[in-house]
Amino acid sequence: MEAIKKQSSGCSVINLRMLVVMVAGLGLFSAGAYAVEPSSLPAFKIHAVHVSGEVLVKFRSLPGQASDVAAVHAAIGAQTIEELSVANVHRVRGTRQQSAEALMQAYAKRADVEYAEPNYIYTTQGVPNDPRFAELWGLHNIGQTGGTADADVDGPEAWEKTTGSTVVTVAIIDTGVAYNHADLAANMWVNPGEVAGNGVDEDGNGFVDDVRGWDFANNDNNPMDDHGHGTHTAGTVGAVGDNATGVTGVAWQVKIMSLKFLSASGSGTSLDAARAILYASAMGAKISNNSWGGGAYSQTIENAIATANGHGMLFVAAAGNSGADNDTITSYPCNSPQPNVLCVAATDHNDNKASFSNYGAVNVDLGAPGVSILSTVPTGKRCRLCASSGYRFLSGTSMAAPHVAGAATLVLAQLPNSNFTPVDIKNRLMQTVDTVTSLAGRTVTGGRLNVDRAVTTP
Amino acid sequence: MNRRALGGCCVALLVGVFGVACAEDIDHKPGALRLTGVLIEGGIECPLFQASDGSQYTLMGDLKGLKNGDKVQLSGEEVEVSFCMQGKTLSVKTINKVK
Repeated sequence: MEAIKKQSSGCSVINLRMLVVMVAGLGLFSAGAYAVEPSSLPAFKIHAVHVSGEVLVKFRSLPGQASDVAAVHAAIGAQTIEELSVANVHRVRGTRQQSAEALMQAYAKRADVEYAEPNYIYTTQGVPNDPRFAELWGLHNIGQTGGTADADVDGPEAWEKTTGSTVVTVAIIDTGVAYNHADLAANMWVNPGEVAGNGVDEDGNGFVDDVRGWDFANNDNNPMDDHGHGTHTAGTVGAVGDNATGVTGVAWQVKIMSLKFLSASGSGTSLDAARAILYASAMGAKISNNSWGGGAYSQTIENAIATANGHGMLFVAAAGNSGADNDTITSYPCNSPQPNVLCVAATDHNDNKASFSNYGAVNVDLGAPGVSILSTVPTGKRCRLCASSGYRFLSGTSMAAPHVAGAATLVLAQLPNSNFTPVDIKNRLMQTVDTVTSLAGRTVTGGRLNVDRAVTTP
Repeated sequence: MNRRALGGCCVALLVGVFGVACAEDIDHKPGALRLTGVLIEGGIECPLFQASDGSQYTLMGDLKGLKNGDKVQLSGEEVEVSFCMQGKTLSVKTINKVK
């Protein structure tokens, strides 16, 4: 979808959908403008986003010479910036730093003014105001990175239907999550059954003071990310959207459960992975992102995934980064036969399969963007992927999987009270891909994730 | 010397005799290795190392600022699970640049 954004410097932007609702709700405007009725002037209050200190003024008939028009504006304390002569509309700005409301009030008192209205700012539905959104080609590709327009998951189109829900919990099973990150904090899961710091296991789940999740690598209740990988995947799933900060996740609203089982160096054990999976499903996560693997089959992990399936948790797995055929060389847990496992390959900004991405006509289900993906990382310098800005570009199937986990979040957000099983969500995501040549015969679906179609399909 | 340690020494001896690999079983635990080789391009999510016998490993841990092209000697253990997902992965315990 092509973004159509009209915006002036120093002004924020809202969705057109919001704008229409707000303007209609005001009840003050006739044909989008204020109908002048000097004897009964309401107090002006503009709720929609507009150019600060500017109004559009339409005269019923121009008051004589151009100099007379200028005098009218000057008397009000305004001057013409631009004139739409055919329609007798002047774009004017206050010379005394008045608000748009004050200017409208002043013009409304003149009988020769048909209307005075704010200079509204319009933007395409679904486009968030996050300043680095334009760099997220995977969500909205307009060729900004030299790739192919629309080789993306159609994020803005999907967000016209849903932007997520805080009732959907996604477990990030990884190196932890920087839960205090400015672009993640509002979307972090908090255990409602636990009181922080009192040394009591209130919810009786076997983990004391597990308010934010659990660190299985160090066996404590602080799943802070000391590497950066987990925070990056978390940001792609659900960095807070439309908060005028950094990036947005596929889901603008979600609850992210941080489960750390990979150490600060990035490795972990099968046993801790299984523990994290079991914790996630027992504590209500309906989706987990698993951007990790090891090649060797583990019965312990397999049993944990099966248990999670019983609890209704979709298990999204990365295909691997060896450029290998998973149908020939096993990559686990991608190759797990459990029905709730959805395995994801990586694509680039031209919808090519990433050269490094594993594939498999039997074992890899679909593709998703995974090359040069911008997302959140911890700030500071104390971890391998930390960055002072809090954001970093990374590539890998680790970056592709969370696009799918985020998409699953949006699907579930639309159906909060449904009996959707993990297999139902998996099928929905697989049946709504965009077929792409590079994945034909290399994945089960032969396609790349399309979030919009996933949330549109009934 | 116990039986496992003896077995490890025998493996190291065989490797040395036939000269097919520079891997050394450093502490007789499965997956514990000491290797000499070069850091190379091609690591996707983790640095990539090519041992002098041609075998490749992705690396985790502190590489002390060493870069692609550096010849290094390292010790470490194969990990069960990681986010590298690119061949075998070593958790590096020690790494030093060599000439």
